[in-house]
Amino acid sequence: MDVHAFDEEGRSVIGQKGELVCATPFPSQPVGFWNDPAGEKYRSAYFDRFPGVWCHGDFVEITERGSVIIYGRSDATLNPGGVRIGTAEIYRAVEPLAEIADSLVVGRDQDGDVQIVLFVKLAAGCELSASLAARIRQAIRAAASPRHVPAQILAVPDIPYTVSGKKVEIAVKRALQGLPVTNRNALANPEALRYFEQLRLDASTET
Amino acid sequence: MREMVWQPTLDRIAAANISEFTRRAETATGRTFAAYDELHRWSVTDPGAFWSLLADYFGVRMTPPAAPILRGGGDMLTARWFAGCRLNFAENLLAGAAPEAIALDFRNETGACRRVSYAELRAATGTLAAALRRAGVSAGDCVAGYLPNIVETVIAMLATTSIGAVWSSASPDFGTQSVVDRFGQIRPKVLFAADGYVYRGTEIDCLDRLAEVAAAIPSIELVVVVPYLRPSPDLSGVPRAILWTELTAATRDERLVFAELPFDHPVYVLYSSGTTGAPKCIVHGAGGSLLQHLKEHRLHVDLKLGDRIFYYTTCGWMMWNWLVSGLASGATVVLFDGAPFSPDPAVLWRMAEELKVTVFGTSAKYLAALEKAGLRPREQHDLSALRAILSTGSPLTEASFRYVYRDIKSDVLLASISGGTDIISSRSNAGASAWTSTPLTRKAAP
Repeated sequence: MDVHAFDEEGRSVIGQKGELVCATPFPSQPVGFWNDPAGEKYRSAYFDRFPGVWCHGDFVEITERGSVIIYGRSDATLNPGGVRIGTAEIYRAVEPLAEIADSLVVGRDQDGDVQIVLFVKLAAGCELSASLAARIRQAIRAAASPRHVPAQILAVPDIPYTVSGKKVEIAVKRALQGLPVTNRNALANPEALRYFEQLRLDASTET
Repeated sequence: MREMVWQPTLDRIAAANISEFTRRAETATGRTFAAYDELHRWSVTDPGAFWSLLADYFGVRMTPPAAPILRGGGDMLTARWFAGCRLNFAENLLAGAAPEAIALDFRNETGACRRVSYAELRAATGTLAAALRRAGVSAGDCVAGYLPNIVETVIAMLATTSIGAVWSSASPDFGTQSVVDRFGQIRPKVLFAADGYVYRGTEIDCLDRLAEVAAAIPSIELVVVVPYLRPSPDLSGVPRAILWTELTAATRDERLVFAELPFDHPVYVLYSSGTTGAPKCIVHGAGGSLLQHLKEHRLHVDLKLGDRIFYYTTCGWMMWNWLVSGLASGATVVLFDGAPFSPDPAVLWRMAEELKVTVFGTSAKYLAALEKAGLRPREQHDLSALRAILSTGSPLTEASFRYVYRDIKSDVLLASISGGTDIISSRSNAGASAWTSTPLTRKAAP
């Protein structure tokens, strides 16, 4: 597979984050989409971002050794201070902590910038104390960078997932913004989203 | 900071499928591929030659391809592979092993077991395919499965694709609307389903949801029910429903006939997650899916005849399609239905020990949860047969890399693989390191 990381201008980059693309045909490309005789849905799903080059929306880095680091879905990347950050960078720092059962991160648009808001589901018997919040921030700063440190950390009862086990960052972001979440049936635990819909980010639960 | 966490032995490298394939590629091209990246560069600069050699090396059963293998001038939107070439997907999955070899080894969380040989799987496929033909299913029709990860799901897929009909599956944990959103778009003629299943110790009845699905999708002419939860479920509430045994009752010893169809004939419909709108119905072709899965299984995972390959998945996730293609390499495909921590966190490792699993596939989330549960499989289980652990779904954390090598097995290929529904396969596959001894880094997934 002719895999590259493309920067914004469609240049193949090594050692930098970019869009995962495939630049040469491969036989397991879909035959197409069902009910899409002209192929328009298919084209817009994979070929709109870079003409003639397959791009399905993963945010990655290809290292000099030829290995690939996956940072998360492209449409869920966070842009604090204009630097693109993949959500997986935050998860891999936070989730090893014993007190954290699960987590989800989104960007909140604020005064022309993006602030990172981290939601944590706590392990049984744990609470989000000031010292735990400090350790979370420290873990993120150490494993990722100071730019990755969330502006807000909030405890939530559950993290919503799709039926195929993916965190639904985009649905949560829409719910927080009061926008409709179009297809709740895709969620394994749609009730988990209700909490986010009711949540106001400036509420007193902030830590 | 980088640190080598595992390196294959020279013996393992020498015996790896990818080493043999590399020699084959050197003979075919008259060139030398001294390292993996040289082989890889050739594969993307002359993809027609690469994929053609792969099909030959794997012994894919198809009519001889005519040059050029790749048409369309390298344009990804108009590319056509193996034009004029004909094959059958199910035939290739059923041809790889001796008749008495074990094709499917099934377990569920309640302790039920079932073992099916390749001969038995061929016979069951032939019987069901004949019944489906009699029910009016022909090439290009859609057949859907709303089924747990059980033996019948594989038989139904093989029977469907042997005819050249298109298979699409959803897991019974999907709600009515999720299933209607998916299958309602592809209008299946036949729907396979189970009466219910057990998950985390709880019996879950599916018949009410099944009745709703069948009522909402008028294209479904026949609902075929597998009695999985109870021996004789009451189907009176489900429109157009019959039991699997009723469907196949009149067919006996039917010869298995495979419809030979174009390389890009549709074999599967998969779905995008649908969080941002109605799920997109992604159609995958028979030849492309087969070749891609063979490549990943044999070259990257180093799957060999008689190996036991397991992936923890439901049939609502593309890893089920990926797993079942392990049959094409003559491996035993290990199926598990149930919760991965039920009745206790060791359930999958007991199974891995008993069935001598050689490839164990799971998710990053599972490995993280296993570490938090404090499980140390290497202390309780003989995992000497295990050669590779695969993880996907989300990037594997550094902590999990360390956990696997410390507490599961030290001499194992741990691959954090990434791919997806869109390509029915993986794109960056660390399994290549079986050959290149690429170090895994502390920073992230390789």
